[in-house]
Formats: sequence, C-alpha cells, structure tokens
Amino acid sequence: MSEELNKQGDVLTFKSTRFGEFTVPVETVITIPSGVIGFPHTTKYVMLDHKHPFSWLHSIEDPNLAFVVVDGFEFGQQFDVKPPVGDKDTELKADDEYAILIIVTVRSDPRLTTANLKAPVFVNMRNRKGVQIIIDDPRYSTRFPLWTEESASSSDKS
Amino acid sequence: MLILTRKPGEKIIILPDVTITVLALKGGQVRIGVTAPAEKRIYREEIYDQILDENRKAAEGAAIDSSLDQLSGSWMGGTKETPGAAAGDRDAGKRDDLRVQGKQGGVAANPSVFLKRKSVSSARDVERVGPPKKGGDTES
Repeated sequence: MSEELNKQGDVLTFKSTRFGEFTVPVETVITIPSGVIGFPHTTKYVMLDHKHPFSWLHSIEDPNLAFVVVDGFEFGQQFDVKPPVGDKDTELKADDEYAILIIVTVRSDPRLTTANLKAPVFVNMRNRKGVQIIIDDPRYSTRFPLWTEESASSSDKS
Repeated sequence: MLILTRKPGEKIIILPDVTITVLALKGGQVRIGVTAPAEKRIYREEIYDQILDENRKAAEGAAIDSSLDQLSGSWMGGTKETPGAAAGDRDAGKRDDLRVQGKQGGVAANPSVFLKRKSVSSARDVERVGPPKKGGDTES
C-alpha cells in the first residue's frame, strides 16, 4: 500500500479521488490500529466535514477509501452503547473522552441510506486512536434507516 | 487449520491467555466457552462477516454525494450546538475537533426531499435481528 504522504513539519498531504489533494495538521490524524473491519491494512484517517450530520472518515493511505460517518450521539438516548474501556487498540480508560462514529451506507436512492449501529467506531479523544466494535445486541441493526416516509406537510412535527 | 478432537468438559489453550472450553453437545449444536482478556474481540463468524460486508458496501457507496446532500438538507436532528441528545453525550464541543476545518466537497442540497431524524426510541424504527436471548452467562 503506497502512502501518499508528504510530511512537512506540522502538516501532511494526502490525495483523495473524491476531493483532490489535502494538506492537514498532523495532529488531526485518527489511527485505527486494527483498521475498519475488512480494511485491516489502512489504519490512518482524517475526518472531513460534509453537510451536517455527515462527515467523511477519509483514509490518508488509500486515496479511494473513505466512509461517510455520523456522530453516534445523534441517535439519542436509546442508542446506549458502552465504550470499550480497557481496549488495547485505543487504550481507552474509564475517564477518557470518546467519540462514536457510525458508518453510513449511502445508496443512490437516499431513502435507502442506512447507518450501521451494530458496529460503531469508538475514538479515544485523548490519543485519537479508534477501534470498530461489533455490538451483538438485537436492538441494533447494521442497516438502521436514516429516512422516514413522512410527507412534506408534516415536516414540522417532531 | 489445527484440528483437535474434544469431549464436553475438555479445553484448548491458546497462549498466552485464551482458553476454549467445550461445554456441551446438544441437538447438533456445540456450546463453547471462551475465557480471554476482556479486550479480546470475540465474535460469531456470521456476525463478523455481516459487518465486513456492510463496511465494504459503505466504502463503495461513499461516492454518492447527491444522496448525502438530500439527506443532509432535511436532517431534523440536533446540531452541534444542541445540548446533548443522549445520556451518554460527553463534551459535544470536544467531538468537533475530530474534524478538520476547512476544505470539503459536496453539491447544493435538494430542498424538495424531506428527512426526519429517526429516534432509536421509536420501536418500529429499529429492525430486529432476532429475539433477545435469556440466560446466565453472556450468551448468544
């Protein structure tokens, strides 16, 4: 896997087939030591803004590899998952702050776009290390639909 | 593959710190116990494969900007400024610094399509994979 990295002091440059070339501060890199499941050889990512609530988790090693993610806390109190305290990849401690990234499967029909609640990526904010954990809980689906069939006229109901 | 034959009650040790115990044979099924450090991630293969498959689809699908913009245009959920939507919300402001500020791609949102944020608390919204199991040890 060739790394398109060019480190110059505090920044690094990487290529993206979607967005061109990026130069980012080195401290923004998120390391996922075991990789996203199925992608064990790419461990370094950067998060890029997209329109709320979506962001990109973009590989800095593979220009073509990026995941659309949503903040796990967008799903409310019922998405109640315990962070993997003691996990070796992230060195997560009980008092560490963490983020939850939920990988979104985007489809050309937006109504079919889903979120994988079964395999969140936890990121330890202290060291920016992440791990994808599978939650074997029947409440959480790999394909939680982000779309609901409601008409435009009822859009002001919550 | 290393192949070992065991009777119920017998074990296999994988150094340094994993022990597999054959607990019972019943009805064409083997009940297996795994003793390992808590940080070891242990999954049934079909669940792991399901995640692997979904991740691959997600990586492929992440080229469809137009869908994202339609979804984003009508996201009714909390914004970054909204106080934590979840009991587990920890320092929402800090999470923002995961993202790099500045350059981004994307096209204009299509306002004619509406999306509601779905709350996981609405039971009908959650696809059930299977009925919850009951039992003593953590069991699947």
